[in-house]
Amino acid sequence: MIMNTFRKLLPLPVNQIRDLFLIVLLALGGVSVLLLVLGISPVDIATTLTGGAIGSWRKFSHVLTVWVPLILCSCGLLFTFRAGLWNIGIEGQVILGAIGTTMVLRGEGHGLAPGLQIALALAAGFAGGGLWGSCAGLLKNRGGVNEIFGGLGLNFVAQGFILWLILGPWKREGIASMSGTDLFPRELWMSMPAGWRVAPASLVIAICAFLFSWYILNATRFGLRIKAVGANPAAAPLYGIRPDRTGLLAMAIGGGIAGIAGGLQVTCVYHRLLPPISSGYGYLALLVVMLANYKAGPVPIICLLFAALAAGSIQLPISLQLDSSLSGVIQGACVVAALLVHGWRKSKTGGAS
Amino acid sequence: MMDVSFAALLGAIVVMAAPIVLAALGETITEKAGVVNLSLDGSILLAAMVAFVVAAETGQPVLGCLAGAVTGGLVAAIVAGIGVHLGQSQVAVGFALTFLCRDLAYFLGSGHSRVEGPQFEPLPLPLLADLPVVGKALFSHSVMVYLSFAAIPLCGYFLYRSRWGLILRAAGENPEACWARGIDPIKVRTAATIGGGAMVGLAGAAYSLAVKPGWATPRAARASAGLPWRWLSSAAGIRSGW
Repeated sequence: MIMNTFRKLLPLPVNQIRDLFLIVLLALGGVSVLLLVLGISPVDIATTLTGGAIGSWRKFSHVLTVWVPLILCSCGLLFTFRAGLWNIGIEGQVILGAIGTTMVLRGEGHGLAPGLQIALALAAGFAGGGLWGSCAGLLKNRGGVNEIFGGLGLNFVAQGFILWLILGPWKREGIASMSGTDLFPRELWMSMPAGWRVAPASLVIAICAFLFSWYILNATRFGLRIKAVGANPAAAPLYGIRPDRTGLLAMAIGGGIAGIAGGLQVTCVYHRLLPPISSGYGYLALLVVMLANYKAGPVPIICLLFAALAAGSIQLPISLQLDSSLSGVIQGACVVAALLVHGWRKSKTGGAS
Repeated sequence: MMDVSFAALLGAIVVMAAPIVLAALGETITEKAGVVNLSLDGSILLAAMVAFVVAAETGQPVLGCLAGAVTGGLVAAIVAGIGVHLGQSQVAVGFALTFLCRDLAYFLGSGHSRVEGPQFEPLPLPLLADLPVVGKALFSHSVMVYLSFAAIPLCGYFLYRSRWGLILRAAGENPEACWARGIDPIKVRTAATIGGGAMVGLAGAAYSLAVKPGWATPRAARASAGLPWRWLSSAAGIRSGW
């Protein structure tokens, strides 16, 4: 009786929590079985991973340095997924964002305060990422190129572009090197308190970006339009919504937010531009958003878990002589399990998700 | 002198093409049935690793090949299960599997990284291999290479001249008509996905057993990591222009 009222009051969360439980059970169970077959104790792995992620403040702040670009990319992807677009070009958008930011930071200060110049640089990052996102969007609208192929192609272009910049026009004093450009002057690094490995300002930016995305997508007319286009592109024009324009705008905003992630990698983490600036965070964010079932709510916590896995796995080769790619195995298993459980739920309820 | 280097270059191209040909053919079969298997990248790496480890442990490259094909088929079975039967986005499943398989290959294969193992010996065809230039370039490779090129006309015949190929294409292009004729398109798609996946697995085996012998965890694998994405597009290109 009480259980029934409870279910009526909270119909969705109960189901969602049960699904989440199933997903975790499936994924961790699968990985544990694999480890047991190999003769490795899952408990050892779990303690090593937790120790590596939250063993000390220094380690946890490393987790946060991964969390910042991951959540920014995920927010960007929420826009495009909501519009029904598979923005696999996110890696390229991160790279272009990093390039835009670097361009401003390398330029003349014109007497601007360093803080202002950094802000301007991040805006340039937003513009760079947005530009790359719109390229994929335009290719789709005007050329009929599927956004997956267009995005992948643009990723390769971005990769080539950043290599050319680092080895060509922006090369180091004296010798061009794959290790990146010269370091920026100290005052253009985002300030970091002693003992921190993550700039507090970047955390604030990430949290603001998430709140902004959540608000736009769930509480504004524009968010509703994006949702309409994603859910039923054929019906959207009946309400005067242009699917191509809305999709393009979603790509531009999504790419821009991903571009900020690239910009923060440049100003806060590496203090220079280097070839693997995106570090695969874009692809990882795709997994995050899929695991979140394309909803905004669970994204921050999943990002935190994935970041903890990625950071904690650095300890694996040191203390257990295991390859650190295990974290990727766990992340991938979670996503496949999520697709399985959500798909099973969908087929059980007859297609209504 | 010029002749020899040209022949060697041509030969290297032919060898490097073998896994790409196999993977693209596998993907073509899958796509003709109306399924997109995006897990190619990870699937090839995992199959390459499994094939090499099995071959190294048993000393039998043929067993390695079989293991690679089975691995590819299993990965494709997951795509078919979630993407076809449960109706989830095939792109999403394939993408997630790409990363799962890639990391699984790195993790499981790290113990066998950079060790010597068996491989397919080059098998010059009698008479043909003695031809100038062409002989060295085309007819003195391992079994896997010949197999991959024999697979092209075989797949063409299968898809366009055989009854099974007709059913497969019907399931991809017009599932309703297929259904009306008493053939379950879901079953056909599942079979095509798994069959194509097995060929992709074979491509992985060809890579680690014939083209670039051995398994090296990060560097070699990462060098090739960007490539398979293009294999998918090449497969898509073949699909339209065959």
